[in-house]
Amino acid sequence: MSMKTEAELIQRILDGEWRNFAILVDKYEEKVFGYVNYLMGNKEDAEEIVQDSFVKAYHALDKFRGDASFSIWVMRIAHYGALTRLRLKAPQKVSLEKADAFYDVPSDELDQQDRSAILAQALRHLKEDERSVVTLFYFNESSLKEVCDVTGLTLSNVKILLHRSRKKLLEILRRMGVKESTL
Amino acid sequence: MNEELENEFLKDLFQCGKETEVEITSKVMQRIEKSSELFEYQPVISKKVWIIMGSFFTLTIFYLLMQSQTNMINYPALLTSIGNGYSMLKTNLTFNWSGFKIPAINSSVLIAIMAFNVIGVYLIFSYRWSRGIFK
Repeated sequence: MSMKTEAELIQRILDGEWRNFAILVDKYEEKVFGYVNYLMGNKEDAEEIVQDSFVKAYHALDKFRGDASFSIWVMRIAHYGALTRLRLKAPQKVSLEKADAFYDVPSDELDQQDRSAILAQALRHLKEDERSVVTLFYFNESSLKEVCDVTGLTLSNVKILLHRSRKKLLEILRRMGVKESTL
Repeated sequence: MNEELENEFLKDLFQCGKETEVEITSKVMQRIEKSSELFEYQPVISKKVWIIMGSFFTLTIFYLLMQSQTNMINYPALLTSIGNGYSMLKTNLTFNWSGFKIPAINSSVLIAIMAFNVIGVYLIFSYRWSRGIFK
């Protein structure tokens, strides 16, 4: 959906065709949920935050100026929602030593579920901002500018964070025993 | 491992976490529907329209009272003919059912009532139209 079509759809929703909002939710739910799920490390919390974000976006739709795409806007709402929730929760860290025993196999031999679980566990060792930057960049395949738009960080900060968190994440994965053939 | 390969590896790893069974749309739409029912009450006649109608009615009554004191009401030809039409209708129709009769209405009051109705209906329709109810 191009930005022009999206803007037309949003105008129609504002004109009273509110059920059309389902088109936008349907289009971006996977993207937003994936991001928040990695950020939170908890499916239930992620689902709640994503729902809240879309509902908030709907009620604030008349304030949407359209200078960024709707997906960036709703991602930003979800991003701040997730950060607020994370700050309310006590940080939970998982011991890397425990993980070694389970994942000492080449990553090619792991099934999708295992790989996803390993990544979720590895991400817990990153700070919130590092986690959000790598997830946006690698999962959502966002550009550096889009990462800035969602997180509110400057371009130089995003570049530094991305470099640092990539190294950190790869090191954690190595310590967890993930043996990628190219690693 | 160079940066490009690291990027490819991480991209692949992150894509494994794609949830295909996300069912958020229906839940979001249910919540929006509920919140709309609770908070987005849309009256047929807005406060603004009520104020306009009230002001118009008050002004009309005030104007008619002032005019009746001086006994110099000069209605436009169209309004006079409407008033005469009603008088003729009242005279020609011998409606009398169970003691009910067409009441004798003073021309001024009749014109005020008609104007009030016409403007009121117009404002209701224009308001509903602007809210997209008829679209």
